[in-house]
Amino acid sequence: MALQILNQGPPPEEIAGKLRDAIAGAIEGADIEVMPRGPGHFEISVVSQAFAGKTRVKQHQLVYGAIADLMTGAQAPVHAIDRLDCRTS
Amino acid sequence: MSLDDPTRQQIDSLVKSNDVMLFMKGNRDAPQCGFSATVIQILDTLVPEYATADVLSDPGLRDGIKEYSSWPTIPQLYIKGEFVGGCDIIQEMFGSGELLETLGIQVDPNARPEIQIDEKAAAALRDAVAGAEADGRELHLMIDAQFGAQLAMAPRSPSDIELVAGGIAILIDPLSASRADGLSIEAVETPRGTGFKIENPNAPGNSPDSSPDAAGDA
Repeated sequence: MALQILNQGPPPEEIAGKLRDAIAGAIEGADIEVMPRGPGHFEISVVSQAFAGKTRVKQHQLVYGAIADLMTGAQAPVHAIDRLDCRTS
Repeated sequence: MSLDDPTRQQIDSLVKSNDVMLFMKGNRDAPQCGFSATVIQILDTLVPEYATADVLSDPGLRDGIKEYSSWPTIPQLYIKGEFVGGCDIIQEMFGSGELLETLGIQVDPNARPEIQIDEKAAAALRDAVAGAEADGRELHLMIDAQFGAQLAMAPRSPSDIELVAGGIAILIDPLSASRADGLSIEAVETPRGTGFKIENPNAPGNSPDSSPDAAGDA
């Protein structure tokens, strides 16, 4: 039991992969980089033409909307995105 | 996902019926996280009245607002039904003046309010300033949306207006300047040393027209 209680969940690289897949599924052709930064924390950088003409808030909403499932609820594998960088090139 | 119809309707109704609506942890008087406290501080500077909803006392709302806004963090600010952003973005927009625009607050960048500082207060302020000037901070006067006034040492910002009163230079941001005309600063002796009493004729209930015995219960 103790092992289960101490279990930190899937390794960060695996969660990073899920974040990448979720973003790729929502923003076609995007160039995505996800870097683990401590337990449950990640930095994300996304390059896509889909951001063109959008405010920074709308750009971030596009990404956050895609990864919402990974960030919601008490058991969410992702606690925080420490930095989110959205660019068109 | 967690956004059921009743929660969506609850959020819809909050953002539509309140021009300035903040989803936060805690409430205006007692924010329960630093990010929420920062946004409260900014809003207090800008608007006298706004609505808040505490996500800590409503788990459905806490998850629901994240999905509703496609935004993973609290606090979240809505102005006139539109999502504005979280703490970082609000701080940035406050610094750039964009937040005033979004709120429809107009300020005159060239306002030159008249303020009075009595001799004793000026001397005390001069002493205080002398100690802090070395690290680039200067004397500022700030007046929040409820006309609470504060003196502080802070770095100069490009939009600051420089006034001279009682022989000392005092910086004031344009928004505070619009609330400062006729303000006076007096020295008062307290058990802890010299303090400052700030009288502002622009504060509600402080106008010269109000009857002298209007100070009682309202």
